[in-house]
Amino acid sequence: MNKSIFKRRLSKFGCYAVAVILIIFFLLPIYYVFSMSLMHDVDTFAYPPKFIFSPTFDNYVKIFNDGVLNKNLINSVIISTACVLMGLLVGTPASYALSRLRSKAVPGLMFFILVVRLIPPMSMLLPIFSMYVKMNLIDTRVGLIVLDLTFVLPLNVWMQKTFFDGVPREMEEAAEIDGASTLQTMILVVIPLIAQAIVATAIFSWIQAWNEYLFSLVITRMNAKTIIMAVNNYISFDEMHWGELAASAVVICLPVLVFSIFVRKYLISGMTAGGVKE
Amino acid sequence: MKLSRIIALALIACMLFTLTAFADDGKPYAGTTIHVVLNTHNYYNTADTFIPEFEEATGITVVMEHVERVSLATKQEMELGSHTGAYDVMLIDGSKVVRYDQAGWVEPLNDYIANDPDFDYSDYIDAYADLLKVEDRINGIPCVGETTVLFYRKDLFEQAGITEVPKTWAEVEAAAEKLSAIEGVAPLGLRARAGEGLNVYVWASFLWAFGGRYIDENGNPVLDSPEAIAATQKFADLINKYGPVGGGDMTHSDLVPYFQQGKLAMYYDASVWNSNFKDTAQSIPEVLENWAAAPAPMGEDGKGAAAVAAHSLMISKDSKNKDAAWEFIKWYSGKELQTKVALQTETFGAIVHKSIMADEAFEKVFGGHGWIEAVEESLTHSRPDYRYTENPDWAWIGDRIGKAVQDTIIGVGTAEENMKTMNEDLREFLEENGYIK
Amino acid sequence: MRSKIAQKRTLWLMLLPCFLVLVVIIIVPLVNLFRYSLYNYKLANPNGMIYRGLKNYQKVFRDKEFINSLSVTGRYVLGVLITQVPVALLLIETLSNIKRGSGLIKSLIMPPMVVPGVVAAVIWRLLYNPSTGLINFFLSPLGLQHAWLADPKTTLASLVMVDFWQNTPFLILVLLAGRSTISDDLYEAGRIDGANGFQLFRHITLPLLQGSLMIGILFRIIDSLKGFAHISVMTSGGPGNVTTTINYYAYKMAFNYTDIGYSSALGVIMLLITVMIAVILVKGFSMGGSKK
Repeated sequence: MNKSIFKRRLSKFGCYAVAVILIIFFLLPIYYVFSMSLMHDVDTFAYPPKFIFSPTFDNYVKIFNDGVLNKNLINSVIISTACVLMGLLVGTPASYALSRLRSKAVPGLMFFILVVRLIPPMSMLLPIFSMYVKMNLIDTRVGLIVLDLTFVLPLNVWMQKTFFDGVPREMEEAAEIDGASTLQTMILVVIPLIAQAIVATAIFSWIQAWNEYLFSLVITRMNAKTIIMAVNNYISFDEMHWGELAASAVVICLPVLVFSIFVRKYLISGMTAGGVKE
Repeated sequence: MKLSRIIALALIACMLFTLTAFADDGKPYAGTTIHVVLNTHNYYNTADTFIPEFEEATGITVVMEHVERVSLATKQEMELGSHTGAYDVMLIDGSKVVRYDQAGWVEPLNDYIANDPDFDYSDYIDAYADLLKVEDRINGIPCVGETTVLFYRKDLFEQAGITEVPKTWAEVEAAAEKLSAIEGVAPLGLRARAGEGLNVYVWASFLWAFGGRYIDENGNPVLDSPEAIAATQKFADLINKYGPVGGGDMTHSDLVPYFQQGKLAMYYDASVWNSNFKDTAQSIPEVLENWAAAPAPMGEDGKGAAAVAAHSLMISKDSKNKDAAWEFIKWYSGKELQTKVALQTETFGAIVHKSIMADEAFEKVFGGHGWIEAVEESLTHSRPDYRYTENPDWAWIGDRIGKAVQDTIIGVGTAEENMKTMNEDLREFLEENGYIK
Repeated sequence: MRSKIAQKRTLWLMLLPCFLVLVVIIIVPLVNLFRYSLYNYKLANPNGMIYRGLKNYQKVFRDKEFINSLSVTGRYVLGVLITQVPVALLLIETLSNIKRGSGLIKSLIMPPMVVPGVVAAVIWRLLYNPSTGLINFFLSPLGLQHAWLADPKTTLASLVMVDFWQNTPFLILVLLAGRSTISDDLYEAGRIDGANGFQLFRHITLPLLQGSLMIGILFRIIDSLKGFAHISVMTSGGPGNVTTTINYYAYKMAFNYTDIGYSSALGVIMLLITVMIAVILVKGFSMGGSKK
């Protein structure tokens, strides 16, 4: 008896240890950037590395001073939020339908959606640009949102359909006997069961829209520019502004973290009123 | 009585009329908006703060965008290729001028220059201005210019017993040999990473110094000549023997911080890094005090060349506000603004006007360390065909050359093998694209 | 109870908005992708587009650079899968044993995913720096320091490591989502039957995780085939062409040289390759069967 309890405790300790090591690995470079953002360039490259230094907020002041960052930040937040919402609104019903429909066309449709994400973005640049010029969508947030949806939707649909597939139909049949419509069934019965997947989908959608660079570069001019463009400007090969780059990198990560915490707290509790484990 | 009244009124009317005429003269472009897109650079950060003054004086509204240079190239080509006319003033430089000219994207500025008595075109440093000429068309006005110089550390030279600043590559090699005795410092830094704007930018100095060239009179590539092979071999040898550890993949974004941290004794690269080495926020004290610049080293018998490049301003052919765009270009690259920015920032020294180079106030801030003299001397050795940019497909060609050079550095093939294969590939490419029969 | 037909109709209608969006945005570029691949089309060429038929494709197959990029890409994707999938599986096993604080842990592993690719690449390039980087700093007491990026033998592996850092969290989150749908009762029953941790994993977790495992692997393959931010900033496809993947090669064609025709042909080929891989993967998983 003692042996197996000991074994269990050991494996639990081992589990925690592994998790801790991996988390440190993931977070160390983040800490590195964070400390870089608080240093002057001359300290950044000091060797042996300076673990103790006097922090300065100069870099943050610099990046907010040119005013461009603020507008870009707002644009990015709007675009990412819209992408998440639209992605869920449009993608979730579609994945549910694809999961529940017994049609030979389903695999084909699934693949069509996937193909959209498989097209190399570079190859799409010029056709999309010309199309947008004609449709007057250049430099508009709407234009960018629609574009971002093309990579957000495939992941949404494929992920959610897989999870919908895993939900047995007994629940829905019961609801239908009670007189619920298809839509009601989906929203009230099935979705709460795959809460985790929806949350993950929302987070991934936000991140993808947030980090999208190629299309933002070409499609936007002054008005709809996103913050990732501003960060890239600090990466120019001609001049290295490490401190400012680090500061803008930190700034760019914060909204996403806030969003994911928010989504976890509220979306899950909202969806799992029926009592589903985390 | 009545007549004199009438005359008086008439005179007043005339005066008022002429006065209004003068008032209009100040803002002929009132209500025009121009769109400008350029790369990122320290110069613009400060210059842009003066834009409201420009807008006040001319009535032009300026919408300014900055995009990192490599991405900007793609963005510009999309806009220009689709003839959107969205931008009036855009970036152009020596490596793109032929390409843009042939594609019909640039508005030649000859007439604007000729018809503008206030504009002193001759004050622009010739080496920079010539980069933008295609046949007799002037396609741009330089704004931020650079050449290559040899940066070095006076204190380390003293320590190694080097009394004369190297003037040729052979002397550089000898100095590097002496410097290799010093611990913790790599004697020489040179760009190794493949790229038409990376290692090729510096390697070309060796090509010219050894008597090589890109093409012969018939347009055939001759980069497999003994001279070109020798140049590449020497370049690779210097990097492998005297460069920092792992230097086979480094470029300026790695090497400049090294120099700033005191880890390089000599560094041959663009002249603009002087602003990094004078900046207390970027360089350690030993470097701040002891950095110096010498003119670009030459080869034997006076052969050799220094690089030359300039971020320049162009007017897009599709622009609907060309006159206003011209006003902006004149001002943005003009002597007054450049002097103001140079003296205010104390780090922007990449000016493009001869008169500023000779200016006392400029010399006070940027003099010492031999930098101004080094730049002037290097410019006399520069040439517009330093890289084979007259070919519109230079980007592909330059990248291919850069790969051959880097392969030699990291030991994938010998210099001879790499240059010969590369030359063959170039010949195929040029034939395929109709540059040679 | 609603009729089956009415139900079916609703379901088809639910599909509509999604497909509308995708078709409208994609159809024109997709058609143009195929169209441009048949032309000699360079943006800076004033002569515009010149029809070439299948010549671009012939050029692709004769292109030594392209053949090399196929090999590089294959090795890169393999490296990514071999490192990320086992670690992700290991971690979800671990995390499911941890009851308290799992939400916090999930938030803590998110930052690498959130950081834009170019920023991650810049950071890692600094970390890998042979003289001033932290990696060599920690390895130097062990005498293991190395020019990770500059040595052609280790460059690709170094890039795989960066991909691991940035993308394993994605895999972990997907698998965790899948894991959460597996009922605890099954594990209880298994334990009562005397199964140990490993057996539980092999006979309960793994089979029931098929769906999310497939998604995770599929999208990891797709994204690593498309990834270029890391390569562009850290190695520019080098040294030499040791890290030039198909996508990076196509990017250089389109981005740097605006040779639209040739890069479109590369794009079509890439598209076909990825479709093939996706089909094989999906078929493979569905044949493995999902025992419920």
